[in-house]
Amino acid sequence: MFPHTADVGLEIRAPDQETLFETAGEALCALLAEPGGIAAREERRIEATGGDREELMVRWLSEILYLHEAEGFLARRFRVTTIASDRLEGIVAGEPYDPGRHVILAQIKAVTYHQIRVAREQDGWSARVILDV
Amino acid sequence: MDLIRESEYRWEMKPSGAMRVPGRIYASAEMIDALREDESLKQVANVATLPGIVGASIAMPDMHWGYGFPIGGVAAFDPDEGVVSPGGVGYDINCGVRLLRSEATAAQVRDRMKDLVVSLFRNIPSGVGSARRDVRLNASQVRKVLEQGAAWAVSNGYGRGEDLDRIEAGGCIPGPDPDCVSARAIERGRTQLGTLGSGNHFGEIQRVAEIFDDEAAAALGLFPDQITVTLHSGSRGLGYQVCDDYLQVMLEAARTYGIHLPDKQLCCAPIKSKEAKRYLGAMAAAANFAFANRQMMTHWVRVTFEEVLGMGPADLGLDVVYDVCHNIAKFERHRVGGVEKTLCVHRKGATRAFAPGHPEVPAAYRAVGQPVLIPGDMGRYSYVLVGTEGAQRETWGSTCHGAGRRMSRAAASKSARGRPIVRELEDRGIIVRSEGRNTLAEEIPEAYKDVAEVVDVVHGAGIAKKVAKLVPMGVIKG
Repeated sequence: MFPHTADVGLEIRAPDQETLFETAGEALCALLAEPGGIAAREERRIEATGGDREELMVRWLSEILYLHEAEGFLARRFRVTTIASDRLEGIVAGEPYDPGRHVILAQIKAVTYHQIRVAREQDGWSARVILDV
Repeated sequence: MDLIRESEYRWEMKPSGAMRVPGRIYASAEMIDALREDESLKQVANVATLPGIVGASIAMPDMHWGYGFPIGGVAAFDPDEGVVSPGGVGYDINCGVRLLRSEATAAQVRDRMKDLVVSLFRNIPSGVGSARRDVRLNASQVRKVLEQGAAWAVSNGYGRGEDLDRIEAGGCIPGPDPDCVSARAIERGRTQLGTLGSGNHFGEIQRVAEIFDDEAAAALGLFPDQITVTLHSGSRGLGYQVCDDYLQVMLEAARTYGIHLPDKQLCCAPIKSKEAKRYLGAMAAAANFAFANRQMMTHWVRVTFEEVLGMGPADLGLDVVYDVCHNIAKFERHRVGGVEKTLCVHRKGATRAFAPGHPEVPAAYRAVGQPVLIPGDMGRYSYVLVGTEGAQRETWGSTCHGAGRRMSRAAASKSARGRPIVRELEDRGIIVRSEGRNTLAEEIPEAYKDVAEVVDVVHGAGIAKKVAKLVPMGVIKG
């Protein structure tokens, strides 16, 4: 996490693309709710398309955020099943929000395209995403 | 970034690289030094590269690093050659401020402040996932809200007909098109109408602590020690989803129309394109949702005061002084090189500030100018200003919108760790209630710049005029 005067940013490093996207999902959800009490007992399928990997990253995270906002779905585990430069499929596992067991930490308005970066590094992949809170 | 000081509070950034127009920043010398440390000046330059921008890429003294456009940015575009950009409006479409004036004085309500705040907090749903059980809308009712704005709320029992005359655009931006709003956006909005939201949104009970302009204050119905209420909220999840949906559309459109983007968040389409027309229809719809939202909360403020103080509406007043948008794009008439033209004015974290005599200023205020509402932080003060000829001439009738953050949310949380924020504020005579665990820590007063400095710059630069200072007595946060 890195600070931004209005928002919050994520910086992620991973050995491969799939892990990069999965870790980004995990980081987003750790800001939304305490991961501790969330059981990975229901699955949701996510499909995302975009002009490039950077847009794909925003779409993937926005889909996870939408599940949270619209269904109150708290995701705990993230798996990317197919990834190309303009298309991604994945499965997230978690459960609906239960006020008795779960702690919501913050509201996030959106995942922004501002200074979005997804890049291949010598030793893997890295990404930078800014969230509007 | 090379800046030339044109006058005490006005700085010019000469066009360089792909900039089509200069940048113009309203700030004190100290503010400029601070701005050089982040990326907001670069964002002013980036906006200046967009096709069809007219005059200058303008930034207000409360500007800070946003995403794409700086927060505190104003940019006007030619309707034939220019673009419209969802990022130039922001995620919270028609985030705005409403001010209510009561007939009560601080001395009358001081002893009841705790009850007022607790009751207000119960009546106005605040924070993540909160909603009132008695507001349950289906998708077709939401469409009516999108078409009618604040008038929908009034016709459903929330508030008074005369409230509508005291809202920017009468509480309904023309041209809403619910068919351009996605099912997802409607779904997110359905349960959130009449809710405050979290983050920097708030409801505040205040007293008028100082009057700077007797004539304008009298026109606005403000007097010393009077109790006022400010609401700061927007279009909630519906607006965020509209923005998100259309950023995808505009990324594709920018490729289609060959628009070079220095930052993807600046994605946009020519105003005349079908993509822009659809966005503008959806944006107007989301803006109207926000007007209805603030209208419903106004009703609950009145109910709260009536219940707690046992006073009737006639004795309480609680009339709307004004309601302004600070995240919006609008078609307005402005003078460009001596000729009046229609422009598409984007205000992202900036407030309309029309001059005295402008036909869009309500008749009651036409002699003094449009009321401008500038909230500060929850520990210090907020300001009421009016629009000026200077704003009309230099900034497309716009001025600042708030204090602007000084600390990131993470830094504020760290600084607040272990501190009893509620008691600290109570010791200063401010009763606070908040829903979110982190909200109060992130929103501590020192996380914000001193709004007085921001207001002094716009007043000194002549792009708004100070009328009154309001000091918080009770605050609810999401």
